[in-house]
Amino acid sequence: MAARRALKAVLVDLNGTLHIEDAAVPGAQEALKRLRGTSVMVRFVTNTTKESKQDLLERLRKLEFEISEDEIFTSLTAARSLVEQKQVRPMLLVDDRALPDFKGIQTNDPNAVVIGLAPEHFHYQVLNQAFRLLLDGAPLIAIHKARYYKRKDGLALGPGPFVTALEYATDTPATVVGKPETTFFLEALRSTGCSPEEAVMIGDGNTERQTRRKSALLPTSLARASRRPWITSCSTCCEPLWQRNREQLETRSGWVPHRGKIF
Amino acid sequence: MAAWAKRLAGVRGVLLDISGVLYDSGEGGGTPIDGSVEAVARLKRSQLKVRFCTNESQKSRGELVRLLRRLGFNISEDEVTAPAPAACQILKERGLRPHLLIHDGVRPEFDQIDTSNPNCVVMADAGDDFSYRNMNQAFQLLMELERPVLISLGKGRYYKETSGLMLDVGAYMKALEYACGIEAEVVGKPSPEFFRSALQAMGLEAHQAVMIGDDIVGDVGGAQQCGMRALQVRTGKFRPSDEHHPEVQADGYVDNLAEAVDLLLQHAHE
Repeated sequence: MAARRALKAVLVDLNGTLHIEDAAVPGAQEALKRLRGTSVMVRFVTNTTKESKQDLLERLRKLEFEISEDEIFTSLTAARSLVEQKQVRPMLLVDDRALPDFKGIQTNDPNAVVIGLAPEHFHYQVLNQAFRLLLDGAPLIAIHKARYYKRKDGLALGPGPFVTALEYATDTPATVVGKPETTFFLEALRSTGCSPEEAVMIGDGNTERQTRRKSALLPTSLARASRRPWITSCSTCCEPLWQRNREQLETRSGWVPHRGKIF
Repeated sequence: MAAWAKRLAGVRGVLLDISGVLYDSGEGGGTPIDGSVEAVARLKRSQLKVRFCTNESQKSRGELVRLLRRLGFNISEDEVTAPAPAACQILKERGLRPHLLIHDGVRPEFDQIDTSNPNCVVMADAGDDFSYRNMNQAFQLLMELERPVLISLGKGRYYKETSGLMLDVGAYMKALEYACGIEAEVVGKPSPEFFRSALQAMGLEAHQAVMIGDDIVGDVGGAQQCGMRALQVRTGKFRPSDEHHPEVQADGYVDNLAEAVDLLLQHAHE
């Protein structure tokens, strides 16, 4: 086995590793302080599509984590990063609460489409507008392709189905930027200036499987924070996970996944 | 010229797509495509059999025919093969009661159908009625069914209206397929049963008929798969890249229906 390069960067998953909802994982604050004592660069990663970095920062600071805004990397950050790289002006079909993360990005006369979880935008006229832009060659950037999510009144369509609709209509694939896509991790690393071989991803079981499959990062599971079967942390039912991990779902959890109803 | 004579030899009947060939729908009902009214009239005066084969599912046949006649076309309801009646046939045969994800314009086609306690979803080109709420309703129903059945009237990607290109039922069908992890059943072009029923209504065999359409995959490819010949028009939803489609090569490319009819009347012999 080739010699490993020195460790220069650490990506830490937020939900399930540093905190679970509004409670810090026991020992996590201490662990983070120790990590800070080393020379590695740290990035905190999460797949949110409707919490801006400010919102996350506030939540983490309340839990007494010492974190600065530019250490946080969300799937929204990944989208913004890609928009900046491509130098495009996006039509933003994202939750209003996500808009602060796109501050400063030109959105007039759009020549790209960015889609997140935003049911209020998934109506015919708006999607048709997006469709026409895409047919003219605009790139389609999807935060993620979750099939559905849980609401109080039951299941609700996620962005995945509508991204699929646009991909079909234009015969062009979307670039998906959220976890567990490779783009997400590579973008998160770009800001550290480190290569995948110099980095480590720390997450709960869910993330570990995702990263191992998707990228060159060496995943290390420090915190099996979630006692629940890991499939429940995927209540948004990401389609790629679903298809690839069906066997694991059945053997690990004892739950028999039924056509996408995995909770 | 010799090439066309060869390509159209033995044609005894013509299947005509409506949207994009006869007219473009839109403001005030729509606009006839240049030369199409006269082209249909010439076809009807000729020895060739004529039938209309459409995936129109926003309006009932009655409404569609009334509109086309207002625009000057010689067309009647019994000359039209459309997906809603075909779907109703299937629903009755299989004892299916649909939740309808449709535009109100086509609802009259389902008047004889029991829609209580639905055990399937039938979706059509719902246009503006493809709201998030309506899509979600259909999705929730499918997820609750023991054996989810999704029937889609066509699977077109988009069609042309006078204001521009419009997302078609196929895109929304793919959305529900993806969300539920199921596969829809398509009633309408390019399903072979649909073409066959049109041929049957004309009393012709596939090799005796030519399809004229604006959808390179749904009209042209679909017709060819059934053994028919097919001409692609450059009106409607046609885009230049369609002439170099990786999978479908039309039997001919014509500017519009008028040119197609010129060629047919010159070269198709009994």
